Amino acid sequence: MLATIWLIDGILQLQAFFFTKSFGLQMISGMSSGNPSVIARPIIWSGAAIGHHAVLADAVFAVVQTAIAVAIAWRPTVKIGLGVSIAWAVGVWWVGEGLGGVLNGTANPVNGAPGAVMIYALLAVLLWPTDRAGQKASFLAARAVGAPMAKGLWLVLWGSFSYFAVLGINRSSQGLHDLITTEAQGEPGWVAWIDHQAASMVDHKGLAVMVVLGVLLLVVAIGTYLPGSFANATVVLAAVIGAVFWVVGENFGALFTNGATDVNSGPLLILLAAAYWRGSLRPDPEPVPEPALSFEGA
Amino acid sequence: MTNPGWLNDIFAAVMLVVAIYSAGRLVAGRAWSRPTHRDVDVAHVLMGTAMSGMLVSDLNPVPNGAWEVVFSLLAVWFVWRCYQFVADPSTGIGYDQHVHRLSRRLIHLVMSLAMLYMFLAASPSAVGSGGSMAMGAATGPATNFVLIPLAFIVALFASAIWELDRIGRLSPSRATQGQATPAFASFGGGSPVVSDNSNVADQAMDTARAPWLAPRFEASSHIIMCVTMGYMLVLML
Repeated sequence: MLATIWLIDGILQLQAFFFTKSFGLQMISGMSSGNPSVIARPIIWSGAAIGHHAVLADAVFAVVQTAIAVAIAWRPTVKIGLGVSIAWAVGVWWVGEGLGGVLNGTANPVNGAPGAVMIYALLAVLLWPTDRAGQKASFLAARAVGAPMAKGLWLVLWGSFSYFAVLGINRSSQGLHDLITTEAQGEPGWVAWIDHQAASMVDHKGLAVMVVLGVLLLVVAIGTYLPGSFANATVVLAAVIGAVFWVVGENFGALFTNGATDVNSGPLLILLAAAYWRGSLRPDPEPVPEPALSFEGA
Repeated sequence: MTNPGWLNDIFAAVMLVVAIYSAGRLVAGRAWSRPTHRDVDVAHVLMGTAMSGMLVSDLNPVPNGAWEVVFSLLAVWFVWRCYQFVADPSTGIGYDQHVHRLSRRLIHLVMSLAMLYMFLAASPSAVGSGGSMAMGAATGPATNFVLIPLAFIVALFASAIWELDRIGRLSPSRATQGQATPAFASFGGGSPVVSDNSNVADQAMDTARAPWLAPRFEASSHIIMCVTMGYMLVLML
């Protein structure tokens, strides 16, 4: 799944817009807005460099992301792929997403903040193909880093969502309404219709909705510390929230606007939730004979 | 806004290579009596040729309307192959025995439908000067059905990754000598006649010794085909 999402990202990078100067000079450089100087300067410099070498830069970006997908999918290189994906994700979070709006007060989990790309990195860490010696994991995410660390990372991620949900303008009466309305621009008619319906539902109710959302996100954050079935219930809640974010706040990752670089956080949150499902690890199967195949000539 | 011409040229060239290679597999499989997925190879020849023509209009060898008919028929064929498996999974002639015989048929059904979608979604304004189709975003009513290409993209890329994940199992170093090879088209796989004579084919399979024809290249062709098709669908989102 993770490799598939990386592959989608790599091919999305081949859309026409990203071969133009606007990608670097407008989209990338625009991420510097509101950020501290130490964060903004590298973004502006990178945006200019990408903009002035748009075709080469975008081709490289597409190749790197596609290569990450291939490396993760091909078992001999899976660790290399995951390792490179972590480094790439950190770089993109800074340069391509301006740290997800964390430092300029615009981060809102409803539209993917504080950055889908950090969830790629988190998944790479959690899905690292190494079993911890002497420990039996009860869910997939705990296999590489252990249950305490995995639960801690989940708590930090969803806890930060809860924090950002009620931060600053996000809890204003029209904050959520305006966010959703803005997202509708450039979308196909039926996607915009969904947005307008959702926006009208939260019109002048932003504070109440975001407080409720913040509480739900907090429940999800601490849910992983609950006993098995309760923990799984919060995992399902997390997946549902991820799906709602993806449809309403992220407009399916804005894939239909010809300007999306990734699928945004919704599918990643669902994938992450699946990794925390208790009972997601099956016992090792009994060894079975190899399939009777003859593969000469390949 | 259009993509760089060289990018489409590269993908078109790759598709031509895959189409020619798949045609070569059909010839080599028959000439050397080597098992291969015949209907899959035929599908790859047709899809590779059609996609190269969509990417570079000068490469399109047939009128646009013909491709719609071709891929409709191909879709019907793979529907039939899926039905064959569902009706009687034991008659998996023509496909690997070891894994996912149904998924192989399903994904080629999806690929056929994706090809059909691409031809139908292209508007008259996207027709190139040579009279064949040029790539671009879908227009007209197709823009309201953008979830369809998105579903195709996810399915195609998931299949490509799945195939890449299992490609290591196709290593010659893991060949098993003296055992039956999987069911294959040399005994008529890829034909409706096969299921009607499944017992005969199964017996033939049990005694077969011919090694499979280049399974890793076949898997690679499938992966490249899925990625290229996904690229074209992304341009139509």
